[in-house]
Amino acid sequence: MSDPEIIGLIRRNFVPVALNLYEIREAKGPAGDFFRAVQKQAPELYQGLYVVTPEGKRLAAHGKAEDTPAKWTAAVRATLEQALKISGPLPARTDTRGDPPGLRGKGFDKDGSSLWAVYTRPMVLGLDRRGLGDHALDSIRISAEDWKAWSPPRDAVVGTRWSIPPKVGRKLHKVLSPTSDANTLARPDEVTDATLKLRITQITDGLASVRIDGHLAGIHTWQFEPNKGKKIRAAVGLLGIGTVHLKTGQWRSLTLVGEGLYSHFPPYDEPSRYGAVVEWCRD
Amino acid sequence: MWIATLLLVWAAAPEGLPAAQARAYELIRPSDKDLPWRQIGWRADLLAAIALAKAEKRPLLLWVAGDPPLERC
Repeated sequence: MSDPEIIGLIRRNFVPVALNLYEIREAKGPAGDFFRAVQKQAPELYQGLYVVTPEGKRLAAHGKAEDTPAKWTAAVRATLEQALKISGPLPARTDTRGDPPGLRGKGFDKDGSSLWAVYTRPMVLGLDRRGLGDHALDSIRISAEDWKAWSPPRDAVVGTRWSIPPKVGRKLHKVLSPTSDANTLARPDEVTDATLKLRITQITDGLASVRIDGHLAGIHTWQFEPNKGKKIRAAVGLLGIGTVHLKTGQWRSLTLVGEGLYSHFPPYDEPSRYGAVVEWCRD
Repeated sequence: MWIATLLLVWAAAPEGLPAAQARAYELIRPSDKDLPWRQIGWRADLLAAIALAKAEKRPLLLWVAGDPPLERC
């Protein structure tokens, strides 16, 4: 959906809705009912695109994996055009605004939790652009309780050090794959090392600058035949900076940059380099 | 390894990202240009979107993914 023509087709003709499959298929009430009724009309789809009338009648759908971006783009265009053929010509939309963005990477939710933004990308030649792969986006939910573990000790001064408990550090497991695909990613319970060490480097007007050094590693067991049981390994070195108010213990910003090595299961286990960024800011 | 380079550079620049790390950050973190699908005005509230589609007399496009399909940063 990064093709300019596809974007234009969608903006002009449809009311676009982005839904989390795991949430909407379980949702109680009319929204969940609407989606489940749509889903029944396209049982071949797991995730993908559905074009439906406001009454929930399927016009077109596509969710088949394509082996190239060009094929995916062509299939999406065909899906949209099929829907338009059924619905007939539509006047171009004049107001194409979407809903406000969520809390990813910024601020706090009502329960005091935050959603840290995660980005990963294959970087097989390090910082050389010729080795860059596609961006992957993900997020990490940090609960109010997790935040407490990130707070510096009381009476912290320049040079004060502390560590994040492994149980909380494992939440960064999303950095353990260059594609952030859950099928390739070590789950929190598969993280074998979650070391995060912090040190205050400077304090200005009660705001502490923090340096973060970390290392995460994990071994994920592949879940599907014929390779079920084979191991996927990843390890990431992390360096980061952040700022935290010493009086309240509340963080204001945090950025981690990581260099990782990923080994898919044998025989595709030649280690490949990738990068990761985790970031969040209060405001 | 560029992370090793960063470790060397960090001591000299504790207040911000060192140059090499900043460079890595720029490569890894996508810009709006890298995510053109964000130009689409996605709705997150399905019921509100259905009401809007009824009012506009046009179809809905549901993009359904196994993870939160939209990301902000």
